[in-house]
Amino acid sequence: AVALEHSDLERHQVDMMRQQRRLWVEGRFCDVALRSRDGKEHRAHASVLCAASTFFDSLLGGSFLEADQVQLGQPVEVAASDATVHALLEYIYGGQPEVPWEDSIELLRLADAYHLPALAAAA
Amino acid sequence: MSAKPVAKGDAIELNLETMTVEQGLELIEKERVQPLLAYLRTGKFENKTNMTFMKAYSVVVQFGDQQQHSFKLYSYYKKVISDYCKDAMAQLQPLAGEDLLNALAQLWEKNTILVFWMQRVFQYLDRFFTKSSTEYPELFKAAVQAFSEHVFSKLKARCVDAMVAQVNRERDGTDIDQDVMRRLVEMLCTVGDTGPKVVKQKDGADKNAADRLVWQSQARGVYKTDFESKLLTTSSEYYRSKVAGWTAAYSCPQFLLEIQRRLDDEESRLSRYLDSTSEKELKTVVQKELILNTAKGLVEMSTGAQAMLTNRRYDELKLMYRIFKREPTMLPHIITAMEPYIETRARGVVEDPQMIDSPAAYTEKVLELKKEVDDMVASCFESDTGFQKGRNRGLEAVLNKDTRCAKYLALFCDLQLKKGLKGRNEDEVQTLVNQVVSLFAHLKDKDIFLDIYKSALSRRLLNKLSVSNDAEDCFITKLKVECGQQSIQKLASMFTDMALSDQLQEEYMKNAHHGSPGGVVHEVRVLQTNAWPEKADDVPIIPCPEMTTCITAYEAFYNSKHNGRKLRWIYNMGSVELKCHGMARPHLLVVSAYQCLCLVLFNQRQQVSLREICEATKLPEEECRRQVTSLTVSRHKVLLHDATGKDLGSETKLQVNDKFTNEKIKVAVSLIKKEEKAETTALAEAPVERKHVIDAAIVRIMKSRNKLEHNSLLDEVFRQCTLFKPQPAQIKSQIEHLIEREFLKRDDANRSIYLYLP
Repeated sequence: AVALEHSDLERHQVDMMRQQRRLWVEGRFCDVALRSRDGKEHRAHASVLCAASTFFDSLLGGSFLEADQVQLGQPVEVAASDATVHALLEYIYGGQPEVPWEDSIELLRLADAYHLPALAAAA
Repeated sequence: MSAKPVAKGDAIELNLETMTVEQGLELIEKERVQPLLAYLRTGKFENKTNMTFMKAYSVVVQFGDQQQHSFKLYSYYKKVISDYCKDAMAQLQPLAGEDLLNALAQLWEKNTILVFWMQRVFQYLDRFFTKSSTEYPELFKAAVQAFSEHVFSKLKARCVDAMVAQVNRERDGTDIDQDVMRRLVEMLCTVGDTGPKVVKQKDGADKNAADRLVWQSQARGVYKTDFESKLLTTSSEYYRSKVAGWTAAYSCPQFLLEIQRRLDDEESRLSRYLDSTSEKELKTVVQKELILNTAKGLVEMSTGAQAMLTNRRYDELKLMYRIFKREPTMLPHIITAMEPYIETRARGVVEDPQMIDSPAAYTEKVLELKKEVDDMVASCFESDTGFQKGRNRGLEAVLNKDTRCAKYLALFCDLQLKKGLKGRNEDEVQTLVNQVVSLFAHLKDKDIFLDIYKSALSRRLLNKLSVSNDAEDCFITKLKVECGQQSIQKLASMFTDMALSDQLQEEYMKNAHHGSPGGVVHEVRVLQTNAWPEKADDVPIIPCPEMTTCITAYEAFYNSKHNGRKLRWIYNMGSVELKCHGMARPHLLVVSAYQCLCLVLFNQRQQVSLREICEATKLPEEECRRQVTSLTVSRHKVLLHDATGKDLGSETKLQVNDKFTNEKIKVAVSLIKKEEKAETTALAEAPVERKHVIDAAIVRIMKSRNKLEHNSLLDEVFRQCTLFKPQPAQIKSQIEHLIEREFLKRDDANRSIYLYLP
């Protein structure tokens, strides 16, 4: 057997993240929709959300009502404003969102509840 | 914009702002926990809830940040699991044995589902509450602790005993529920663990495979301490009693098959439901009973190794080897049986009276035996080095008792190269050479082999008896590999001489007389003095005039090429073709050079006496009589004599048999055998040479070391003498001899140290 070693693993990781983001921006292969309080839907990749947070892992992991909704293509309700949900996803996909002052507290609460400690620290 | 979180649902509206923690828990109890418990009881969701994970989770997040509320949430979480365990325990209490195991495994499985769901809902507590507390362990650990407290600790002994009993039942051939065992092993690995965790896994590689909940443990919980130790002692007892039974009932091969089956069985059990960390310990225990404690007895059974060897039951031997290989310290038992077997077989060949005087038959048998045992070691014992050494010891002990094997092997080579290899292809030659050389490697008297090989080779080369030059080359190359360039040098230079002589002869033929001065065509071989075993005649023979012409012509030619070299003629190696006219019809006689000298005398006179022949040729009388007598025997009656009987006296008159006739025109006259003297001198020769080899070795060593202790000198000499094994006494006497000749002296202070005298 031959053990293959990455000649530049860090670069590979950065590139993978960038491509994930491109797919998200282009809206390809998205399999989850999050509906914010004001009724707007935000599409995303289940695999990326589960990787980003154990909260999403539990939510989409298959034992709860939401997982069935996702299976049926229905959106998942998120108790937050449109701007907050967008900022959350932007952050998960490696962007640097600008958040209006009035939404920042809500984002902070969400980051905490959704097990995204780095976002909580950033906000 | 308002920051009040309000979760919207299809049926339930939550207003977290106004909700108390009690209300929140009540909601979770009613909407999530009760349906879950009902599912665990009945196997299906009765009243399908409309409460999403999001809502339940929101409640936990809402109160999870405040210490006094967090504690309430945590206590509730623990209570749900504890209550579930307590309830279930009531039903388990009266059970025992297999029923207990089945029920316990089922409870464990259901509890796992409960814990998995509960932890997901309450996981926010692990973010802050349990992390900042030493008193309250993480959710998973707390759940396992509840299970341990209310169920496991009360059943532990009963459960472990029942599990071990199940393993033994399976060993006895009963089918048991492996799934139950697998779950219970998981339970043992989880209970008491420092960081247990439930994860969801696909049951197979298939996309549609069912999800399965599995526990991951960090240190295998109580599996090692509470279960494994018990399993090990029980296994040990189990097999000890089994082995006692088999010893009485089974033959050795049956016993081995049984062991193999049991070992396979244990291995498959490890992969089926035991934890893989038990592999080493369990194997040690099982192999101790099945192999370590039985091996010696098995080998020594009447149906054991000896019988297998004698009856060539190679499959059984292979099985025995493969089993014992797991405990390599047991392999020597087989070797101890194999060695005397090989010795016996070898003795069978060596002591066979039919082959005592037949080098060809003897060597063939030895080679056959060697091949047989080589094949056996390769196929049964995977060419294990221990077995190879055992085989070598066995063979060498018998073959090296005397020098016969070395001698006969050399003679066998001669026969093969003269006749046996005729018409064989390259591969067959290679095979034979390899066999011979591999046997040669076992000999301790390599020098004797090489001596005889050398003189046989010289005869083959000079008399052109060799069937194939390639085969000759092949032997030399292989021998060189086996005993080194130095020992083979002389043999190799014989081939060089032959090649050079061929060249010289070619040039000689280009001379004015075309290689036949005085009308006699002749061929000359020029040999280096020391490389060949041939010795020139002791006495100056007088050649006939025709020969003298040739000799003079060749010497003139040779001196023109190489100045200052002296040729000495070895008449006794020469052969001559004589054309005879005085007989019933013309014949060509192929005779030795000596016989030629005798016969040409009859060109001058009708009758010559033996004494007159001796005088004319200066041949020693003994040799002359042999040569002449060869011409008078009934097979080739070239000469007639007037002696009574067969023995010729010195005054016996000889004359040409003019009625001599033979169906062929060309008649080869063979010499009658020399008297037995030859044999004994050859034998005596080797030891003389050995003395010189030892001398040379001692001097070489002492020259480089200057000063050496007696025993280290012996060691060095043993290392240097690769062609034979010198006897210590022999070395000692050579040392004395060298001291006498003032090559060495003893150290004055310490008599056991030798000093080199330059």
